[in-house]
Amino acid sequence: MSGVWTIYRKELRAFLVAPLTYVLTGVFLALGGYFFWATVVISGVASLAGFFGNTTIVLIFLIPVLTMRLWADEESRGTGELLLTSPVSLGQIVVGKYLAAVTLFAGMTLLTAGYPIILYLFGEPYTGPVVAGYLGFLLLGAACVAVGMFTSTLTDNQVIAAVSGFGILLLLWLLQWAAEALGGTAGAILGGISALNHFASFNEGLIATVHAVYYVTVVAGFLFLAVRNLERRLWRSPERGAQSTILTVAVVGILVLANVFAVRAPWQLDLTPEGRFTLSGQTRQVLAALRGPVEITAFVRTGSDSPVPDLVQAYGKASRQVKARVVDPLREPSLAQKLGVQQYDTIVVQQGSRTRKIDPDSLYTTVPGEYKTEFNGEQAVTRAILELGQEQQLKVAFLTGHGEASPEEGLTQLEGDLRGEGYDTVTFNLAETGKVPADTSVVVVAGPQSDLSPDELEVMRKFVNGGGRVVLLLDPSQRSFSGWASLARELGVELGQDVVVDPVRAFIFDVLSPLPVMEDHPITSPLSERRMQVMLPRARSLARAALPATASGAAAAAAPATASGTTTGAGTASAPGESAAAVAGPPVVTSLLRTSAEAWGEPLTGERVKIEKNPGDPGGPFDLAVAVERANPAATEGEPAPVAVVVGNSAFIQDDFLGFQGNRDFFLNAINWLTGKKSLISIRPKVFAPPMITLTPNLVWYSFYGFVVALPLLLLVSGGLIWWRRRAL
Amino acid sequence: MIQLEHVSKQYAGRTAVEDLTFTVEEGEVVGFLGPNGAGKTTTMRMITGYMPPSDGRIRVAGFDPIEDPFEVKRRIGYLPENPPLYGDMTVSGYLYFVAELKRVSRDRRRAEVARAIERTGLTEVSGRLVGHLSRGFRQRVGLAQALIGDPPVLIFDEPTVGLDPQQIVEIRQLIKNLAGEHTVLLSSHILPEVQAICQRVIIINKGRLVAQDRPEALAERLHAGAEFRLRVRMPRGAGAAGQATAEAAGEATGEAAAGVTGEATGEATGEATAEEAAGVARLLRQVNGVRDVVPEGAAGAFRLILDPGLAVEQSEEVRERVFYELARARYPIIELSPARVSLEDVFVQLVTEEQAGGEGA
Repeated sequence: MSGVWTIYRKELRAFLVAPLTYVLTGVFLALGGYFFWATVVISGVASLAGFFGNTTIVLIFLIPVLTMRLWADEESRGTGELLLTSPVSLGQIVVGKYLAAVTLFAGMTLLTAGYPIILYLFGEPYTGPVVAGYLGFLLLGAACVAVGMFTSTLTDNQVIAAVSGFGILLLLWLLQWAAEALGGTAGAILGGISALNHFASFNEGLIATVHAVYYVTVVAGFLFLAVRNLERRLWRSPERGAQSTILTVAVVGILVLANVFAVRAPWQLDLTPEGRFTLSGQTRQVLAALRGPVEITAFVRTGSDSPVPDLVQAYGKASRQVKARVVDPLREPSLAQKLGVQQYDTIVVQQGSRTRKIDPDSLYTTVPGEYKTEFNGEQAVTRAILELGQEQQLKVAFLTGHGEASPEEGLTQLEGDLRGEGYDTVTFNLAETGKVPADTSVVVVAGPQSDLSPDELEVMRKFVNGGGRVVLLLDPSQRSFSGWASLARELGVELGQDVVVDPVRAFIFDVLSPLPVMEDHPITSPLSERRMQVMLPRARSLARAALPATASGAAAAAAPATASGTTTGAGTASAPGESAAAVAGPPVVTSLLRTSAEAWGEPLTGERVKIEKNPGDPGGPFDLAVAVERANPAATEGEPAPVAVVVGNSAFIQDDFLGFQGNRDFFLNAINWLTGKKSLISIRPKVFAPPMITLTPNLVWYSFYGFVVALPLLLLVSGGLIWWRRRAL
Repeated sequence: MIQLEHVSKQYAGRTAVEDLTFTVEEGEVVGFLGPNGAGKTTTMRMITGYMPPSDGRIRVAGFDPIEDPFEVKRRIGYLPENPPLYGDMTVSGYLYFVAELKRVSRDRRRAEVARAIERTGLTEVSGRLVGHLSRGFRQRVGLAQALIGDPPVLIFDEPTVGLDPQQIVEIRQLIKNLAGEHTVLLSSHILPEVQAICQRVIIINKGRLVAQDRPEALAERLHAGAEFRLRVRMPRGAGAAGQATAEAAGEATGEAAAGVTGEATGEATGEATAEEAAGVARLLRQVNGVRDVVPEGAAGAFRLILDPGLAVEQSEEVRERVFYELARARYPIIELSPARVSLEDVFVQLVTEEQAGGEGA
């Protein structure tokens, strides 16, 4: 040990008196300062990721120049003969020299401390990525120094040492390209060897043993090679050859095993602000309970900064049952085609023959008014895994035959989302089948264009009164559909024969598209928590029916009932008809979406009228969506069971509008509420909010002159001073 | 203190040292002499553990430099051919580093450095950068470096090379003073230098041991004259001139053994041949300029030893006379050639180089 210490101090002293050290440090600081300035000060994002990402390339050129003299100089001066005839081992010499160079590099890195100081003074950076970034940067530098140490033992010519060090480092860098071009297992191995990959995750804020072990391996491997190489060059002799081969094999074996172990038993510290690499406890429970292998495939564009690959890999790491793959659909188009993937960032979860596809639309939510994005990937994937594991899928049946939108037409995206939520979707036409398909959990009626025939109404009544659940989405219409109206009335809802105009709460571009107020309900509260709006392009008002309709003969009254804010529920009349045998209580109607008080109902008469509030128009607030429950006959405690969700609009779930803020979630929540599934699991979305920094124009220039000009100059000047003072010695 | 047994070293297909065996006793100052490229540096590097021998065994204070490198290295102070100096260190800083490197205990380091500086006369330059020193001072710093830690064994590879005469004298005196407390092995290609400093000289040439002895004995042997291998046709026909006796033959053999090589000679093939050979020897001894003639194993083979100190022309004249004498006695010469690389040849080279070096300096 004392040998290492002696060599270390001598080497460090040699670095500190060498003018080259100061020139290199000056160049390093000038480039680093520029990268910092260009990525932080200019963009206003308080993160060092840009500085690290760019400066790592500088290290490839810089470190070999720093390390070139380590051994080559000893050899050309003949001082190696002193070291090797002194009681120190080659290993001590190499390690001592190596540590000195690493210390110097750490010192250079320390001189960049001004960058984070600026970030903390004038912005709010995330500490995790700063810490992880510095750690990764130091590890990367330590690995580069080890490579330089090795190439310095190759020759007594410092230029050759530097150039070959640069070559090896560049190769380690560029392997990543080869890996990407190659793909598959070979690509994965090459990618694992590439130095670039490993730094990237540090720079994102993840400290993972896999990556740390990689750098330690590079360091240990190249230092070992350096010692071997010196031995070989100085002491080549046959009987040591066999011994050294065995030793080499042993060391290589240990290093490989260490890496395999690190991959197998990963440990990581996730310092990303949003916990990007960390799965929630719920997910880990789900994964622990997995009963069969699950395959998760992410289709991601190579080189994108999507969080999807990290997420999917996190699943792969968390459970051996999970096989995680990240695929570029351009590279493997057949797979993408087979799984029906058409968009980047699609995730496909497979278990056995069953498949769940998660579309990118359901992964991201933009928080309105704020510069951040929510990523719901974990919730989506975990739900998909859960649902794949369920014995039976719930069935959502779309009624057709009256011009409704259906999964085939208008609701293609919605169908994908429903499947993503674990539902099976079918369509049915009562005229053909005469009944609702067996095992249907929910019937969706999405904007019929024509009326329900009396026979069909009867089937539907039987269905809802027999415990079936229904989503009625009825757009405003000039015609009045008595069939639909009586079905609605059966559910305690009176359909308004109007189109709602809400001058206060409407989509900014269209006064006829209300953005209704959300009432507190399991369906809406997740949305209001996230401040997401539901937009209903053209909505009719809904009111509470005075009495449940009893028969198909009860034609709908065209006049909308006035809706009062705290409408008393539907009457107390007992449910009529033999089909009502299963129904114990009257429908209880709860508001989901309401207009403002300033809204009015513009009667639909067929003639073009000016949109304005006329004295005769009914005034708001109106319900635009309601939830209907009935006391459950089976439940002794009489807890009401969900029966229906009625919305005065169907367009909001059609492909054109489904993506608007909360539209999709509103519908899916409604389905989940009806089926009693609520949500299988709810995981907090990961929020990306770039840390901001604001610098005054003066500060922008001060930081430029400080970091890019003054600090590097200071180094050069101190190097010059040291040279000047020693010149006379 | 230093033992080499049948040590060989091959480098890149070339044999640098071959079957070298010698011993240096404790407290001796031994000169390691040989022309350039003789294998001196290689041998010293093997002794210091800088490189391993390809074959044979080395012991320094009873330790093998390869098996127990630390034990050997901590006992050796080594001045390589090129002094191992760091130009960017001050003299005292450098020596302090060496003291650390040699594991001189912390409390003794300063004293050790001061002692080495004083002994090598570096006091006035101790604060200067090694890189700024003149050649002579650098050589002295190299020497001081070897003295750090007061190692029992000192190995100096050409310690005076490149120094001016005044410096050479100083260094030689310094090394002489080290005798007794230290075992010193120093290499040189300059005979007078070795004569001046060393108690014993080991001479190698082309990787092989040529001779080892006290410098005076070597000088004597140098003047012992040149040696030739002589073969004559024997037995000649009837009517031999010589009246050899077994007694005389035995005498001659004894002399030769003591005098030159110590090799066993004179394995007589038959009594008659031996007598005849002795007769030839006696005959030739009478030739002016011939010091001795020793019959060798094969019939008609002799070692012809000329008087010491003969010039080349004189030596040729003697050989001429030998020719006529043998012709007269009807013993035709089949071969007359210089014996194997002689000590003299090596010495001639060494002396010449000294002169050339001296002129150049």
